[in-house]
Amino acid sequence: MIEVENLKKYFSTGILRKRHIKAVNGVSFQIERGETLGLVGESGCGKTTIGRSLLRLIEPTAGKIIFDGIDLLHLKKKELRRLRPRMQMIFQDPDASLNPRMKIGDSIAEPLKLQGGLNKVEIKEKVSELIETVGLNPEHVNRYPYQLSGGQNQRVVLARVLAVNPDFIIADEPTSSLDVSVQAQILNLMNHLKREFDLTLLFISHDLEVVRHMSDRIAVMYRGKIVEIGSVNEIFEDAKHPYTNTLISPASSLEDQLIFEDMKDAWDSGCVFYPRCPFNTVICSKKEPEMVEIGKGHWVLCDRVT
Amino acid sequence: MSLLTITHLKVHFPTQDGMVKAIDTIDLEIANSERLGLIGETGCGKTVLGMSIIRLLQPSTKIEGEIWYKGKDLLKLSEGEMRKIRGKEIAMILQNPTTSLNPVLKVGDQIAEAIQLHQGLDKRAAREKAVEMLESVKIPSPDKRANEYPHEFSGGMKERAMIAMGLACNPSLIIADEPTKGLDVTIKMQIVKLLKEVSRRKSMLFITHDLGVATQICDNIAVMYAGELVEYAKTEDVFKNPLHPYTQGFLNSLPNMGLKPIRGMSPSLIDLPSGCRFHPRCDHASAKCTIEHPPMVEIEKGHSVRCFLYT
Amino acid sequence: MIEDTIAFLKGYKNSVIGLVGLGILIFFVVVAIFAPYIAPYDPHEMYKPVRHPNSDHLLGTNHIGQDILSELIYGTRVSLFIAFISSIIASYIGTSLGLIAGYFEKFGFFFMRIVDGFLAIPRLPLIIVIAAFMRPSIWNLIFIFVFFGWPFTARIIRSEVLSLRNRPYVDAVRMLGAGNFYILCRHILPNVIPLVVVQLIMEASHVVLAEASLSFLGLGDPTTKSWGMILHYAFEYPTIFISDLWKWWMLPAGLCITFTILSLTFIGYALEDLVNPRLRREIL
Repeated sequence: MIEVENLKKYFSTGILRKRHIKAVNGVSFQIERGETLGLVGESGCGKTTIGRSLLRLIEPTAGKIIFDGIDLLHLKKKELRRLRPRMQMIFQDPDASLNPRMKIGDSIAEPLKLQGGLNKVEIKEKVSELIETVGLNPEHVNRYPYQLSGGQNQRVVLARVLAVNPDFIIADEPTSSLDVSVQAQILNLMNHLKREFDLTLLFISHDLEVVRHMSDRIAVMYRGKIVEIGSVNEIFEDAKHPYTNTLISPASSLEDQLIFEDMKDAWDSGCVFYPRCPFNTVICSKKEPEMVEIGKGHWVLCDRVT
Repeated sequence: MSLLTITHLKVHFPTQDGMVKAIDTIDLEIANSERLGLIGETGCGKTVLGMSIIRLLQPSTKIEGEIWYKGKDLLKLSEGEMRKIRGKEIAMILQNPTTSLNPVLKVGDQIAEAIQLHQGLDKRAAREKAVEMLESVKIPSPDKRANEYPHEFSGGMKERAMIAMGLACNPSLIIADEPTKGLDVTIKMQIVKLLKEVSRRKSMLFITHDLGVATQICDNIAVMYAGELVEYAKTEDVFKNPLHPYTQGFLNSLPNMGLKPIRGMSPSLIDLPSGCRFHPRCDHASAKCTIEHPPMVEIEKGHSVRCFLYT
Repeated sequence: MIEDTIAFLKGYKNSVIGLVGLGILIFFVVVAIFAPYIAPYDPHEMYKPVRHPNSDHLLGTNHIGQDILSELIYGTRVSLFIAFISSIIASYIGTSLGLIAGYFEKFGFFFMRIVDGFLAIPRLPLIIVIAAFMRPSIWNLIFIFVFFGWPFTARIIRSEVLSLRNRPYVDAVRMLGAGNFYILCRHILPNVIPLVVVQLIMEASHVVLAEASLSFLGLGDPTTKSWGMILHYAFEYPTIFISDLWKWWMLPAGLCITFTILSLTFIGYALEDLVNPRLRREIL
C-alpha cells in the first residue's frame, strides 16, 4: 500500500551560517493494506517529519514514496490534490485540529462539501451518521470546539477524516494530549474504526505500550533512522537493537546519557546510537551500520548482531 | 508527626461561566519525610491544590479551610511571612521547565538568585552554591553549565535545573507538579530516580497523572477526582487492591493493563454531578449514589475510600 | 455567525471603557449625519467677523464672520468621512495583501521588504511633503492616507496569517483536498477579521489626527470645513492668544479631535480584549 524508500528530509537553520539538521536520514519501510505500522521514538527523532512527508505537507529532500502504485513525489499539484482525500492525518492536539470558529457539524460537513455530489439534506444525514459512528451525541453538532473536551474533539477529527473515505491514515500521537481514561476510549475507537472501514494505519507515538496495542508491526526510530523494525512480538520478545531494549525497560540502562546529550550536534559519523550505546566499540563510531534482516521481516540497524 | 495538615480546604474561582469548584473539600496530611503522590486527570484540581499550599493563586480566588504547616496556618499568614516560607521551607518544582526558567538569565544565576534571597549569602558564595546544586542533580561539568542559558539545556537538563533551584534552600517540603510531563521515557526514568534520591528525608507532594511514575517515588497515593479525594492508600495497595471504582477504572485504562476505558468524561468543575461525583461513569452506581454524597471512610489502616460499596 | 455576534455584543456590554468610547463616537456620528439640521447656520455664510459668543452665535464667529459652532458641526462630517473612508480602504488593501503575503511564502518575503520600506519612512513628514505638492482636496487626502496606511494592516495581518497557516486545522483541511483560495477565504480570513476590525479602528484614529495636522498646516482643502481647518484659520489670526478668542475658536475644535481619538482608542481597547481569546477565556 505504502512504500517508502530512502526518505530524507533535511532542515537548514541559520541565515549566515547554514546548518543542516537531518530530521529524517534515509528511512525505508512498507505498510501492507489493512496493516497498522507503529512508529516509535523519542521527541525530535523525526517521526512526525516522516508522517508529514508522506502526505507531502512538507517536501522531502530525497527519496521515494509510493502510495498504491503512484509515485507521490512526482505528482503534479492538481493530481496530488485529487489524491489527498485518500490519505488522511490525525494530529496530536485535537483542539487545534479544528477551526475554532466553526461548529462541529460544519467541520465534519466540510470535506463532504469539498468533494461535492451531495445535496444539503444528504450531507446532514451523513454528518449525523458519522457523529454516531464515532460515539458523539447529535446535540454536539451545534457546539464549538472549545465547548468540547479534548477526547470529544478527537472524535470529531475522526469523524471528519472518515467523511472522505480514506484508505490510509497517519495518526501522529493522537492521544498524547489526552488523559489515560480518555486515551483508552479513543484508542479502542480507532481500532474499531480500522476494522470497520478497512483502514491502513501509520501510528506514530512515543509510548511503546500504546503502540503495542495498536500495531501489527513496529518500527523504532532514533535520530532520523529506523534502528529496528519487526512484528510486535519480535520487538517485545526479541529486540536486538540496544535502543529498543532501553525503550522497553527504560529503568535498566542509559546511566550516562546526559554526558552524551552534550555532544548531540557534534555527532556526524558512525552509528547514530553510538554515543548512548552501552555496547559501543571503536568501529561503531567510524562505520555506519547497515540494515540487516535477522528474521523474516525483522530488520536491525546494528553491526553487533551480525 | 505530620508536617502539613490540610483540613476542609475549598478553593473556588469565580469565572464568567460560573463558580469553578477546583477543590471542594480536601483533607490531607503529609507526614515528616513522607512522599505522597497526588494522582488525578486534567481538570480535577490537583495543580490547584499545590498552588494553594504555596499560596500562588489569583487574588479573586475564594479559599476556605486551613493548611497547617509546622504549627502555622499558611492561609492566615501575611504575604511577607508567606514569602519567607516559599522557596525556603516549601519549594515548588513547576510543570514546564521551558517556560518556568527565565530565558534571558544564565541558569547558574537563576539558582543563585533563589539562594541569595533566602540564605543571605553574598553573590560569590551563592554562585558557588548554585554550581554545587547543579552537581547534586548530576548535571555534567556544572561550573561550565552554570554559565549557559536555558535554551542550551536539553529538556531533561532543564528539569534537573528546576529541581536544583527548588532544592537550593534545603526546603522541608517539596511540591513537584508533573515534573516528568513531556519528557521522553528514558529521560523520565532518570528524573524519577533523581527525585527519589533528593527527596530522601524530606517530605514531598508529588502531583502527577502518571501512576507509573508515582509508584516509583511515593510511599502513599491519594487519588483525586473532580475536586475531592476518592481514595487514599499505600502505594502497593492502590495497585493490588484498588477499592474506588474510579481508581479501578483508571488502572484498567492504562495501556499495559488492558486499555479498558472508563466511559464518559470527567465532569466540569462548574457543574458537578449530585451525590457521588463519579456516579454518572460508575458501573456500580445505585440510586443512593445519585442522591447522597459518600463520605471518606477508612476501610483498613491507612486505606480510605469514598464509596458506598464499602459502607 | 448570529450566535457569535450575540456573544460578542454581550461581551462588549460588560466593557465600561468600550461603552464610553462607543457613546462618544455615536454622538459624533449623529452630529455628522444630521449636520444640516443641527447646525444653526450655513458654515459658509458670513456675519459680523470675530464676535464673542452671544445668543445668536453660541461660539462666536471667525475672522470672516462664519458661525464657529456651525463650522464645528459640519467639520465633524468631513473629519469622520475622511477617517472612515480612508481607514476602510486601507484595511481592505492591507488585509488582502497581508493574507496573500502571509500565505505564499516567496511572494510574502519580497512583499514584506516593500512594506518595510514604507514603514521605515517617517509617515507624517512625507505626507506633508506630498500633500504640499498635490492640489488640496478631500479625495487627495484620502488617497494619501490610504497610500500610507495599508502597510500597517498588511504587516499585522501577515504575521497572524503566518501563525494560522501552520495550525493543524489548516493542514487537516488541506488534507481533505481543499485548495489554497478556499483555505484562505474559509479558514484563515474569518480568524483574522477581528484583528482587522481593531486595526481599522486604530487606523481611523490615526487618520483623524493626521487630517487635523495637515489641515492645521494649511495643506487641507480650504473650501471644506474640517476641525483642522478651523484650527488653521484660528491659529493664523494675529491676536488669537493674547485675547480670549482661543477659548471658543480653538479649544472646541481641539476637544472634538481629542474626544474622537479617545473614543476610537477606547473602542479599540475593548475590541482587543474581546477578540483576543486568551484575554477573554481566562479559566483556572
